[in-house]
Amino acid sequence: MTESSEDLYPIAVLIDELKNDDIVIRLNSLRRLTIIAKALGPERTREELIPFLSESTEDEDEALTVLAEELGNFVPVVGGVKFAFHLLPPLESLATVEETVVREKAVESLCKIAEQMDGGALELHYIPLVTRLAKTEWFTARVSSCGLFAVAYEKSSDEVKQELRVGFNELCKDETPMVRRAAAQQLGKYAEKLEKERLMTEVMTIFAELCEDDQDSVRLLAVGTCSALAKLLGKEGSTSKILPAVQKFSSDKSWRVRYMVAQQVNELCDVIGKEITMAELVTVYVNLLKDNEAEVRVAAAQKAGDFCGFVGGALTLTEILPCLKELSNDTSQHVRAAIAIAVMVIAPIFDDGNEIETNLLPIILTLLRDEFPDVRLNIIRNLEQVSKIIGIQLLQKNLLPAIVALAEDRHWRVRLAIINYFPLLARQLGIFSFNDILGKLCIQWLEDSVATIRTAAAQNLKNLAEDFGSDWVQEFVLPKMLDKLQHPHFLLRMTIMEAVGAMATVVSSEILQTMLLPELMKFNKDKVPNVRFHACRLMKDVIPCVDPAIVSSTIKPWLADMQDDVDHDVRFFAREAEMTIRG
Amino acid sequence: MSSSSSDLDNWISKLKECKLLDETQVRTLCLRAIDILVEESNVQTIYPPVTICGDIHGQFFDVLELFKVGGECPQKNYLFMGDFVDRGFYSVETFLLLLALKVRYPDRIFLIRGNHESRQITQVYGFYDECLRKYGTLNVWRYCVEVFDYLSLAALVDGVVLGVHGGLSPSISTIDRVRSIDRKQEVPHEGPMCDLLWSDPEEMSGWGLSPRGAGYLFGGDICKHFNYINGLGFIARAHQLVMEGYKWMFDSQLVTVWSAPNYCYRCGNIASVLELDDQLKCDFKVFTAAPHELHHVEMRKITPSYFL
Amino acid sequence: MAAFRVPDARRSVPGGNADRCVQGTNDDATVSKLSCATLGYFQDDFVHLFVRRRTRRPPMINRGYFARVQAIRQAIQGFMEAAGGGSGGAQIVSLGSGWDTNFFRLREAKAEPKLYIELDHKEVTCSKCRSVKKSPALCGLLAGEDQSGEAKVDVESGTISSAKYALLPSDLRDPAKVKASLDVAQADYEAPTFILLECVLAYLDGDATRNLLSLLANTFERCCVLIYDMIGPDDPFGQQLIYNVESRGCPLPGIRSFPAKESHAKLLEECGFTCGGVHDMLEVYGKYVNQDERKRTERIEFLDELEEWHLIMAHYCLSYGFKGSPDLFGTRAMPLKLQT
Repeated sequence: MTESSEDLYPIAVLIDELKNDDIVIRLNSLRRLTIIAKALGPERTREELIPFLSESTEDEDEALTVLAEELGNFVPVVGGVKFAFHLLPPLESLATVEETVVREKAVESLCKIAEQMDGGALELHYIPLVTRLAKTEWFTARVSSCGLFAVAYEKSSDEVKQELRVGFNELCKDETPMVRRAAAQQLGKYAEKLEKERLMTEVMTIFAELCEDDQDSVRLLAVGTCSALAKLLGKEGSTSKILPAVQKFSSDKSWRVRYMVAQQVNELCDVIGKEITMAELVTVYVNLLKDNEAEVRVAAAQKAGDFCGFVGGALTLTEILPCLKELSNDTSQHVRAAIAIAVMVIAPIFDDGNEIETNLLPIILTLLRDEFPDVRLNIIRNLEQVSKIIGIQLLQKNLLPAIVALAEDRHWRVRLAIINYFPLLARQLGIFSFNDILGKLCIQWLEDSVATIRTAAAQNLKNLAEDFGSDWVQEFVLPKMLDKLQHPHFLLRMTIMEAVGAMATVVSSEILQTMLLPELMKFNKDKVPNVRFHACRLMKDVIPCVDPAIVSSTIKPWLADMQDDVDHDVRFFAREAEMTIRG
Repeated sequence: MSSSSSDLDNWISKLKECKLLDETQVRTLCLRAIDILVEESNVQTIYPPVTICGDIHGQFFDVLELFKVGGECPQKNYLFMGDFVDRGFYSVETFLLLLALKVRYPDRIFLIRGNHESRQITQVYGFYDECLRKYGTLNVWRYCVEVFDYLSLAALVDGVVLGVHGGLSPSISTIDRVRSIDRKQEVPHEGPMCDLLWSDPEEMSGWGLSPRGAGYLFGGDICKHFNYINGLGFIARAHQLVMEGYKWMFDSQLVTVWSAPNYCYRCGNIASVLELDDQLKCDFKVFTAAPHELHHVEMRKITPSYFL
Repeated sequence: MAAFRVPDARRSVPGGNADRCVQGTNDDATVSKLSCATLGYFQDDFVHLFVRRRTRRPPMINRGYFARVQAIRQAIQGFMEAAGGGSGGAQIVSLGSGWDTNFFRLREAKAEPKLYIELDHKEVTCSKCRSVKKSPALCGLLAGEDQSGEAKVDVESGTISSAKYALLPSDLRDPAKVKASLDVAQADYEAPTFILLECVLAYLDGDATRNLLSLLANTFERCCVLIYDMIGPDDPFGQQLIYNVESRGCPLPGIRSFPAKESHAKLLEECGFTCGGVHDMLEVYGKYVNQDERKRTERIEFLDELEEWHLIMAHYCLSYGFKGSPDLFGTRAMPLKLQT
C-alpha cells in the first residue's frame, strides 16, 4: 500500500460510514470527526472534509445535532483561528434547519468560534453571516440570528456596532412571534455586552416593548430577563425600571408569565435591597402565593426560604405565614408538598419558640396528617431543623403524637423516614422518655411487612444501643426480643437475628459474649438454609468484637460444623466467616 | 473463561447501579449461566420459603423496589416467572442482574421462561433495539437469546404449587408431560411448550381460542382437573396485567401475579409478589413504582406512547 | 394509588413551551400515522411528506391509530355521501388539523368537498406550508382540475389558499380569531359542513372548548361535529396518562373538564348541538369500524398487549353532534354506522 492511499483510508471510511443507512453508524463516525480531521491534517480538513460536511446537512436531526456540536470544536483542526471562517458556512446552514435542537447547537458552536476570532475576521466573515440570517425570509434563520449578536459586539468597530444594534432592534419587533421570543430570550446576554449608557435608554425601550407584547409567550421571556437586567442596572436602575415591570407582570393575565415572576423574585430582591423589597415586593410575593394557578403557587412557595430570610421574621409572621397556613390546605397536593418544604426551611428565621408554637406548629401538624405521602415525607425529612429549635417540651407535647402516628404509616418510605429520624429524636428526648413512648415502636418495626423497614429497624436498634449503652440493650431490648428468636415464621427469626447481630458489634463484650453470641449460635440448627447462612454472614462482623479465646473455643468449631452443611451457600458463607479468623 | 464469585459480586453491584457490563463480561456471564441452566429440569424443584414474581419487563428500578419490599437475594429465595425483557427501558440491565444473581446463587433464585424470552418477540417489543442502542452491536442480544433457550419452563414448589408463565395446554395433562419436552429451542408457534408460555385462564369451561393468536384460553374446570390429577394446591402464573397486582381465580385454584408496577410507565397499576413462607402460607406484598426512576431517563425522549 | 412519584415532578413545564409541546403532539401523531401507513394498516400516500424520520411504533399504538383514522374516514365518507358530495356544496372544517392529509387523500380520489378548511397554530401551519411547497405532488393536488387556479402557498404567514383548500393560522382559544380565519377562508356558513376536532379539546380548557363549540354551532347553520378525544382522567390509567403527557409539557385541562362519555354528550348539547352519539374507542373498534378492514389489519402485527389495549382504548372516545335537521345527513345515526 502506498503512502498516499494509506492517507486516503480514514476519509474514505468516514465518508463511507457517513453515508451508511444505519443512523447508529453515522452517529458513531460523526462523533469521531475531530480524530479523523486530525489524521487528515488542517489543509485537507479545510479542503476536503469541510466541503463534504457542508453537503451533509440533509441528515436526520440527531446526526445534525452531533455535527453542529463537533464543528464547534474544530478550530484547532482546521489550522487555528485564522482559518476558523471555513467553519462558518456549514454552521450557517445548520442554523436554518427546522429542528430547534440542531439550530441551538449550531448557534452555540458559532458563538464559540466567534469568541476566538478577532475584530477584522469577524467583520469580514461573521458579521455578514449574522446579517444574512437576520434578514432571511424563513423565520428559523432569524430565530437563530438572535443568539449571534452579543458575542461579536465588543470587538466590533463603532460603525458595525451601530449596524448590530439596528439589526437586533428589528428582530425584537419582528412580525413573527417566534423571532420576538428568541430576541427576548437573548436580551439579557445582549444587554451585558452593550455600553452602560445604552442600558437605561435603548435596552429599556426594547424591554418595555417586549413587556407589552400581545403574545404571552413573548412577555414570559421578557420577564425571564428581569433578574439579568436588574444585575446590570444596579439598585437604582432596577428600582425605577424593573420593579414596576415585575409588579405589573405579577398580575398578568397569563399564568405562565406570573410563574416566571415567581421564579425571578429572589434575584430581584438581591439587587433592589431589603428596604425596597419590604416596601414593594412583599405584596407581589403574597399575591403570587395566592395565585389562582397551582403552578404559580408552587413556584412561589419554593422561593419562601430565601424570600422570608430576606424580609425577616416580623414581616414573615404578619404577611407571609398566614398565606402559608392557608396553602397547607390547598387543593393541589403539589402546592402542599411545596409548602411542607417551605415551612421547614423558614423555621430557623424565628428564634422564639413561642412564635413557632403558635404559628408554625399548627401548619406542620396539618401537613403531617396530609393524605399525600410526599407532603408528609417533606416534613419528616426536615424535622431535625425544627425539633432543634422548638425545644423538648414542645416536641413532646405537640409533635410526638403526630410522629408516633406516622410510625405506622401505610407508605413504607414514610415509615423509613421516621425510623431514620429516631436516633436524633432519642438523643433529644433522653433514654427514659424515649423508652416510654417510642421504645415499643422500635421493636414493632422488626415485624414490618417490608424488608427494607425490617433491616432499617435492626440498624436503628444498633444506633440506639450506641447511644443508650449496653444496659439499655440488656434491660429494655433483649427481654422483648429473645422470645421471638424461635418464632415459627422464618422472616421474623431472621430479622431478630439481624438485630442481635447488629447490636452485637456495639455492646459491651460481656453482654455480647454471655447473651447475644449464644443466641446467634443457635441458628445453626434452623431448618431454613437462608437463616443458617445469614447467621454466618453476621458472625463475620461479630468475630472481631469477640475475645480471641472464645472465638477459637466456640465460634471456630461452630463454623467448621457449618462448612459441612447440605446447602452450598451455607458452606460458602461459613468459609468466608472463617477466613476473618485466619486473617 | 473464568470468573470467581468476587467477579460476580462486582458485576452484581455494578448492575444494581444500573450500569452495563461490557460485552466480554456479558459473554462470560451468559456462558456460565448456560452451564447451570442446562442441568436444570424443565420443571424446577423448589423448596419453600420462596417469593414468586410475575412479569417485570425491563423495569429495572421497579425490580430494585421489588427487592426492597420483598427482601434482597440471597436472604430471600426467588422464583421469577419470565418476561424479564421488552417494553421497559432497561431490559439489558434487568435480565443481566437476574442472571448474575442466578449464577452467583443458583439455589436461591430460579428463572423460568416467559413468552418474551424469544428471538422473535424481542425484535418487536424492544429488547433487540435496546441491545443495539446500548452496545452498538447485536452480540449481547445474541448471547442473551441463547440463554433464553436454556431456561426452564415451569417450577414446582414443594410438589404442590406449580409456577408457569402463561398457563395450561390441551396437550399436557400431567406435569411429567412437561418434563418430556425438548425445551432447548426458540419458542415454537404452537404445541405444549408454546401453550405453557402463552395461555390465559378465562372464566368459562373447557378450552377456547386465545385472542393473542398463540396458546389457549382454559376454563376453571380444566384448571381444577389438572390440579387434582397432579396433586397441586394451586397454579401461580404471570403473563396478564392485573391492576391490583394479583388476582385469584377458579376458587383459589389459580393466581395471576404481576410484578411490573405502572406497567410500561403507562398503566398506573400496582404490582405484587407472592411470598410463600416455610409453611407454604401465602402472603402478597404489593408495591408501587419506584419513585426516582424517572430521574434516570430522559423523559422527553421516552414518554410512553399515547394517541395524541 | 401510584402515590410515590417523582416528588418534584412538575405538572407541566412552564417556560413558554407548553404551546410548543401541544404542537409537538402533532409531530407525534403524524409519525404514528406514518408508522401505520408503512406497515399497511391504511393507505396514506402523503403522510410521509410531512415526516423526516420514520419510527416504527409498537403494535398497540398502530392498531389504535388505525381505529381512529378508519373511524374518521368512515365518518367523512358518510357525511360526503349524505351531503351530496362536493357538488352538493359539502364543506369540511378541521380544527387543530396538524399535518392531517385527509384533504389530499380525498382530492386524489376526486371525492373532495367543495371547500376544505384547516386551522392550527401558526408554527404548525408554517411547517405544513413548507412541506407542501417542497412536494410537487401536494402542490399539484392543490391546483385546479385543469391545473388552473394557481394555489398560493405562503410559508412565512403559514397560509395556503386555493380553490378547494384553505389553511390558516389561528388560535382555537380565541373564538373571534377562529371566526375571522373562517371568514378569510371564505367558509360558506349555509353549506352542509363537517367539523373535525381530532384530539384537540384535551389541550384546551373547558371554557375555551365551550366557547369554540358554541361559536361553531352559532356560525354554521347545518353542520355535524366529530370529536375524538381522551376521557377517564380519574382511574389509575387515566391519572398516569395525565401525568405522563403533562410531564412532557402539555397540560391537559380538557380531559378534566369532560371526563366521561356523558360529559361529552352534555358538552355538545350545552353548546347548541344535538348529540348523535358517544362511543369509547373499544366500542368503535369492536362495532363501528369496517370489520373486514379490522380483520385484515389484525393480521399485520402480533398484539401481545391485550390488557393494555383494553385500557388505552377505553380512555378515548368519539362523540358527534348535529346542528340543523339531522335528516340533512340521511340517517340520524350518522356519521357512524353500526357494522354488521
